[in-house]
Amino acid sequence: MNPLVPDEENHDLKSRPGIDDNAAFPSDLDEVFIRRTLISNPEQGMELLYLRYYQPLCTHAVKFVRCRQVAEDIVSDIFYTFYTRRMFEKITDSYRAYLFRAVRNRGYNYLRWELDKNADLEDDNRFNAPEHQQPDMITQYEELYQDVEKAIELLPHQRKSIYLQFQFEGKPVKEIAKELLLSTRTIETQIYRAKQTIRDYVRSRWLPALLLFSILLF
Amino acid sequence: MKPTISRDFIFEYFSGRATSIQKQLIDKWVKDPSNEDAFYRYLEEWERLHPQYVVDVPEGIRNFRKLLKETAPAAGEEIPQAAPARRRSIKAWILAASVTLLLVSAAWFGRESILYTAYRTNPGEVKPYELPDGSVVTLNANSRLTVSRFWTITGNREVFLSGEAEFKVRRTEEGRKFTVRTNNDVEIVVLGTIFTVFNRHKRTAVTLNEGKVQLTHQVGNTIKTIEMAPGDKIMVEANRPAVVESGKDPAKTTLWKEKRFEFDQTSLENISGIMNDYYNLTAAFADTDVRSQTITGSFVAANADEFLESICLLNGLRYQKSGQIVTFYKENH
Repeated sequence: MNPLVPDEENHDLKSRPGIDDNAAFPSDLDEVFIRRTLISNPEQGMELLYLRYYQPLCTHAVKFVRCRQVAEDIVSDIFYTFYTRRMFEKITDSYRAYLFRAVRNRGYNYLRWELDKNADLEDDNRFNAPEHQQPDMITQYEELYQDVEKAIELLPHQRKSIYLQFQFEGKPVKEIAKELLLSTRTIETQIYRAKQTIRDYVRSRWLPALLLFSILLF
Repeated sequence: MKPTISRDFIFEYFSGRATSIQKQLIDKWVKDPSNEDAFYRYLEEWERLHPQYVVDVPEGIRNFRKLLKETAPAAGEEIPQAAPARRRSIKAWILAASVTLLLVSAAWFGRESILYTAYRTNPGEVKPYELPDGSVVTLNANSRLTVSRFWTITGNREVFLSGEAEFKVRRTEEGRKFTVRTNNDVEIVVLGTIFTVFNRHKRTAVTLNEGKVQLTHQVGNTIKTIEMAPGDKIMVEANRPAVVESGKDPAKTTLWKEKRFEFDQTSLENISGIMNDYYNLTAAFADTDVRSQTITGSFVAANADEFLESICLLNGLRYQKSGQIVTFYKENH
């Protein structure tokens, strides 16, 4: 075989097992490289940042907000601030830590606002809650979204499926109704009940924190 | 006692299986900034290994660009400024502006030569170069290596390769890394070792002779890192997972250093690719069955003519060269 050319026929060779699987933990070299690019060419640097962190940040955010659109909006907004305020010049620790902290704070606030608001009042002024009200312990973030996950798990099978289609995928009620051969009214009720169950479950565990939050607001 | 927290420990926690006592341990551990950094590394890794869904990253980038365009101040829209207290003569301003423009454009167009030193080889040429740190790079034909001029100041041993080269990287006392980059975003990081890099037509192949090498490349939207062992050959092509072969004879990868060619059932079509890469020659075939003929054998060729003669001798073919085009035909033509 000709050693000079990476031969076509070898491409179907199986990759050595375990090699590509280990690659989920890239070195810090990327971060150095991204930092350098951001300073010399911010727009190109932002692209690298997107390629590197957009996916894991969105999938983390979605645990708090359970809606992919909201998750992506939150992450995009953080990236936008990162760019327009030139945060990349100011951050001394890793971008990774900064970005994940920002996502967790936003996710936490969003979820708390959602749990706190009146179920029937969509436009609640508490949405503009101060963002610095954050838990003291890092593990409280995990506890909060894991509680939400547990609550979803407790839902009856069909209600869970309807809720996830509506909440996570952002499918319109009409479309879900058509697919399941149910009335839109039924779907709406199912979604409402699911939300109520999740809210009650999480509230019962987080009431003190939520109360404190309300007191600070007024 | 300082809590020691492992990756597995944190992963148990992310999966929701940690006890309240373990959580308390994590809370304490994370208070140390270096541990906090590790925490987010593990979190990132966890998210990569257990994604909730597949995110459309290109779409995210497009939206970001759109947002920038929408929010950017329109061209020609100037922020009103207070009138300057003292006016300098217009002429002085024009002079200053044109001098600046001249300097900036000179720096811009000459930035390659200001910032980088380039080592290159001509068609058919093989040449060794010694780098500022004592490492030796042997470039194969039609190859180019650029090295930052600030190497010795910044301490970043970084080079950019297009073509093919063998690297004998010298280990530094401080253990400084040596990085080779290519135009298809492959990055090879080493401390001190011998390896060969082939990078033409957006394909990269790396063969390791000695030591240890870390190769980073991009597949889709993820950046992958592979650790190589001696005898390993890794081939990377755009948006395909890397292919790894073990047990390669590294000496065979650098036959070109002695201008030696070795072919085993290699088609003339593949050989025409080498002709192009090495000698800038384009192959033409009188008949289609000439194209698919294969060659087996080994020879040394100092230049393009010797190469073509050897090929024809092994194959019972003849060739005609006009300019950069070589036509192969059968002897009884």
